[in-house]
Amino acid sequence: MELPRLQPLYEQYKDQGFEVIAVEAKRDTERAKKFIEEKGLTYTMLENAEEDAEIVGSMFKVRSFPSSFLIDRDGKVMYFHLGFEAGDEEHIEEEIKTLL
Amino acid sequence: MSRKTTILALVVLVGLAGACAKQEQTSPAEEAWSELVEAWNGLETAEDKAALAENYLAEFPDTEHSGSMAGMVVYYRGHEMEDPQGAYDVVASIFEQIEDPEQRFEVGMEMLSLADSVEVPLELAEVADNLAAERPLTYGEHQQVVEAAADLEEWSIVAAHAGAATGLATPEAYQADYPDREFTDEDLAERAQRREATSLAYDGWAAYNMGDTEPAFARYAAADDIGSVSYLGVPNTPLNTFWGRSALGEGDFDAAIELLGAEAAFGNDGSGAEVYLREAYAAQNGNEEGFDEFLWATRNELATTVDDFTLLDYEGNEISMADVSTGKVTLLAFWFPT
Repeated sequence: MELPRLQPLYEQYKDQGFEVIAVEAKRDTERAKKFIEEKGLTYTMLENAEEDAEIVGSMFKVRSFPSSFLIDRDGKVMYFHLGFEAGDEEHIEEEIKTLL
Repeated sequence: MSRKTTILALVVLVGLAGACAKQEQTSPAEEAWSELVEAWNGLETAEDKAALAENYLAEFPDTEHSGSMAGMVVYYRGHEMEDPQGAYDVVASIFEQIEDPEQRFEVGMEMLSLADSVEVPLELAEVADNLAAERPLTYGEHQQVVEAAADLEEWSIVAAHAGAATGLATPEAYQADYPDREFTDEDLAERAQRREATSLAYDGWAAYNMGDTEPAFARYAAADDIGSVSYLGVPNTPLNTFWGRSALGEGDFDAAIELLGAEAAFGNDGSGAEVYLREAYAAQNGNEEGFDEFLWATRNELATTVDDFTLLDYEGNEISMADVSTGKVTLLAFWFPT
């Protein structure tokens, strides 16, 4: 999912217990900060750690971007999504509503 | 599959943009390319992006960017604007002007990716052989041919190129494809394994579709032995979809449900696994009743529990996943700015 498309979902469902955590994979800090500010993203934004401590590739084995995991209240990974087709957010919203 | 290729193409474009921005402008084509790259980031709509790519192609049909521009036309006009015929006509009109075999290959593959909605008189074998006459294909090129041939149900082409791709699925070949990047040995081994499992899965699927059932299942088993899996614990290759569909074809519904269930449960798809899972479920149970509940139960049963991690936010604070998400439904998104 493209990050700006997640912002309205976050605003709509955060009071029901929905969070978004976006991890920037390449530590392109300046461009990331500019993007976050320009697009007005208010959910949790983190930077991947460097080298051995990095989590994107080694822990989550993510190779393609954007990739998203949807995690339920018990910490179970219930859904995976790759890419950014138009209309994806409707599908992911259905999944979020099912889990809330 | 063509969608994923497009995502990669977009990333490649950005990579090219960065590289070209730093170069001296040496020719009208390169100058126009720099202008395109600059203009690109300001464009919002698919119409504008398609028009920019089409103008560039019309003026400079035969450059090192022909393949990626054709990809943009196919993506924005063909998919986003839902005008595959228009996209095909644009790309086809410049195809004969392209002399470089690598660009001809890339552009030809883009045209063939539209074959499910448009009449494409181009022969896939010809496009592949034209480049192969020039130099041996890389793993990625073989795999591109494999995926296109599978979409076109040209099984002998799938088999030939999947076989060749399997032979190239080595750590050394992977490193050679990305000469500027550093990988750990472990990382290279894992990437090579994923390639090998992918090619074996396609080779098996081709064999199955050509009626060679036993060799097909032997290749699936070999791909499974490689053990290339995602964070979710399911194959990060099309193995389960092909294996499951073959099992379904043989009337082995238990096996089909297990294989397709793991594939369909998390929606990491595009493969259509859920459609075939539903078919297998109905075949075993007599009807589709209870299918949604079954899929939900499968998901719960197979779901990985996420491990906690701690990273820095942009104010330098250490934030753990648990801090933010305990007791919540959380979307964990991985991205990078372009």
